[in-house]
Amino acid sequence: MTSVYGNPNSLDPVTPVGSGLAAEATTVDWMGMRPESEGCGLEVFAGYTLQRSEATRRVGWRLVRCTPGS
Amino acid sequence: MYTGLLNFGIEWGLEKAVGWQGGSVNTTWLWISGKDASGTLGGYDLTISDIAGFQTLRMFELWFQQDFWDDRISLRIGQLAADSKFVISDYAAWFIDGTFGWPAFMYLNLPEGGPASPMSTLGARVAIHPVEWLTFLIAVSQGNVYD
Repeated sequence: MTSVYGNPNSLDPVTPVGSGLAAEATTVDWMGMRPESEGCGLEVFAGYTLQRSEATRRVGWRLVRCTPGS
Repeated sequence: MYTGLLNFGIEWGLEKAVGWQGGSVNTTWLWISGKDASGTLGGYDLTISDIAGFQTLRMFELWFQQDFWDDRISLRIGQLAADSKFVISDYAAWFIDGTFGWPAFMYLNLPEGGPASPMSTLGARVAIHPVEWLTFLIAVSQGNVYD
């Protein structure tokens, strides 16, 4: 079973958390979306975060390969 | 200017994989790219970014965990980072701002910033989970991440 968490196509920031460089973060929480590993013998995961100076944003997606599938 | 973090790894549930009840192995790796804006735009010790670091590909954590007594007690040993289980709220981990990561009173007082992303140290952690809503955590780790 392969699952993708988060939204790789969206850079939408939705939650202001301050001002200036670190003004925004998305609620796409690929770290928090990580599923419990019950059901996985082997879980392979990856995610990417990009922070840019003009608008701090998290581009989050998390690919989970679960073997055997649950 | 940008900062990028590729986070990847493997979690191996030994019970499902080879029938070893309660055992699991995890390793997490980080590929940090770009620059840390804290030095050039911030100009002070409190970091702007929770993901920035020197540009590198490095192993972040590698540990073995054994659960006992219906997962009420677990022992984790290996290369551990304290910020993955201590001090930081799960909900604060949503944000990239350094304010929400390993706090300044820790990284300014512990040797070389302490065992927190992107550095970890050898250590052991015990979790006691007597009832569903309560967990006690205690850990011992190497003091200086560069030793």
